[in-house]
Amino acid sequence: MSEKKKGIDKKWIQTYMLIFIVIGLVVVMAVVSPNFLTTTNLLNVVRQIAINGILAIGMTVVCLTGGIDLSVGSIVAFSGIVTAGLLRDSGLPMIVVVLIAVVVGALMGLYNGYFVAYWNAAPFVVTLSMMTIGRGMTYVYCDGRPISNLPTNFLAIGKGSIAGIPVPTIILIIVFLLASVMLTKLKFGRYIYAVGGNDNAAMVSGINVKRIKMMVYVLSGTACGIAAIILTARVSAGLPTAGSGYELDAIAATVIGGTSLSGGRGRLWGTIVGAILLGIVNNGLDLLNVSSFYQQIVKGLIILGAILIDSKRNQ
Amino acid sequence: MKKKVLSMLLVIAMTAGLAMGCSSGVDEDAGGETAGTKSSKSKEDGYTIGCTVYYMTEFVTLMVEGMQSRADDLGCDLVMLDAGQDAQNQITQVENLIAQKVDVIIVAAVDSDAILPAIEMCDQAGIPLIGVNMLFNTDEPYHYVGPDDVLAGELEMQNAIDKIGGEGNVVILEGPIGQSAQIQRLEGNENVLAKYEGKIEVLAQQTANWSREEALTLVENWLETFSGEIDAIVAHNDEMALGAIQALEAAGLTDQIVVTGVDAILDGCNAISDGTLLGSVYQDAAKEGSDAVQKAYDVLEGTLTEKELSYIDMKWITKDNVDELLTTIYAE
Repeated sequence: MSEKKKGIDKKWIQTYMLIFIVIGLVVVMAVVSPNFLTTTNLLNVVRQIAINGILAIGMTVVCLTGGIDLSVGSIVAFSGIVTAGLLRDSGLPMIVVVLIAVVVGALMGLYNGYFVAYWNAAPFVVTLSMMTIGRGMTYVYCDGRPISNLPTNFLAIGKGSIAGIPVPTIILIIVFLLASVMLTKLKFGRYIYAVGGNDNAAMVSGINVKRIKMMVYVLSGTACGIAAIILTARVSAGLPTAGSGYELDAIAATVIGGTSLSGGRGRLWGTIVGAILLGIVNNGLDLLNVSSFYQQIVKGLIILGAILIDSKRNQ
Repeated sequence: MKKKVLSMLLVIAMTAGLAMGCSSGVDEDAGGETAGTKSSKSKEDGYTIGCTVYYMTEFVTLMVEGMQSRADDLGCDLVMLDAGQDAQNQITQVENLIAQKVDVIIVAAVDSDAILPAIEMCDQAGIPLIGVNMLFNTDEPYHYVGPDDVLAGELEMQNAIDKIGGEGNVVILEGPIGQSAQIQRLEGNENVLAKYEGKIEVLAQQTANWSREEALTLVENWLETFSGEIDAIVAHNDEMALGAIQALEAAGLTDQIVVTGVDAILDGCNAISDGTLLGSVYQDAAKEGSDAVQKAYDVLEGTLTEKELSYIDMKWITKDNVDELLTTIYAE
């Protein structure tokens, strides 16, 4: 009995530690930078974390099965360039283009999922292959040139607000709610945890493990498609170089949020708090005029700190 | 449990370290002035100039030094951010600079198209925006200080063609397709080529993305494909020209093929001095940065109202005048 209680206490500490760190960071930032705790800046932060937040949600779902998705940056680039190309040239209604972008992302995720699940290939390698294929396809599609002159109503997705909340943030919240419901309320979500915890046991208990493993990459690809729309609208152009390195930020948010890379354990809200933490660090260091070279070091140390906590938790 | 406490302490220490890192950053850059006084700045204290650059290349580093020294002369603070070649991150940084209430923003754009939302953001915030080094892809007028890349492209092509006697085959190593420097340098190349129609043939033109390694591979392959046919290699920057020279050295063709570049970076000047690089076009990075800050200052003071493009002089550097650079800006 007391053992169990101790377990709960531990969990509480771990749960709140991340939030304490974020609050601590906010306090520090508010003290050292008078421009941090302003409405404009806080809205900036929540807008700026949207892309990474959405990618990290997809990444978390993949990591829960013990996988990893290195191709998110490239999928973002290809979905984004397709979005820009269709908006400029096809004359299709915006909503159709947006749907196509999401489907393109999902299909690229399907490639990952199919080879991981049905060919038993290592996720690291399969998604690495998609990472370079996706980037190559992007350059082929646009001939290396940015695609610009996008319709202004599309750009509102990047810079617009509804009831004072930036549109990218609203999209992040919707994606988060849908993914949370999926993970906690649907059978499919519980299967994801089961597969990540022990896929043999999951298979024995009648779960279609291969299908689950495939679907998580499709979901990650879908998240990339959504993020690509926001990114394209934000920079008002489809860029062949877009999204490079974004997989690292998504993995960082996931790990900081407490999701185990070996699968089976993790919470979606932790990932969001992780993304917020990284967003505040980026924003704060920008406000304080700290060179991006140091920003990278700080980010690296935060990731190390998170993983140390994680490995202690496992013992 | 103890270990967990330990790791917790570690994270707290890191956060503290982060905070300390932050404050020391402010001290350095604001010259001892605290962050608190920054926001309540009056005109006599000088302006705060926000700047975001695409990436800290050797060239940009020189440009930033030029900015810093002019900002010091004018009594202004310079907030310098590096977008790390990520266009989305650059938009984020412009947002952050606006939130920081800087007086003016100078941008060396990651991408000429993707920077356009920043123009509108700055307009809305009432903060003037100055472009430097990279043009904005817009028809609206804007403040800009940068290189005359068309002239650079003309200079390097003309000199290469003169060297090979007005007749022969050239290949072109382009910058990343779609960047303003690539577009304009190519335009300059083509202006000259138009005069030699029928005499000069362009065997191949491809991007090597400003990269020495990529250019090396590309030129190696070209030397195979066009064995014995290439007379001149025109590169849009020195890095790629140096990659080409490495390929030529490996193939023992240094004496037979002419190479020209743009930028006159230190390695490029050394190659000119050695005679492996025919020449390069020099744009004064420090002057470019310094002029951009001056323009920002003039706009804030109201002495400059018209939005226009100002070009930096471009200078053709050869073996004859390369020592001017090697003994001044590149002196140890």
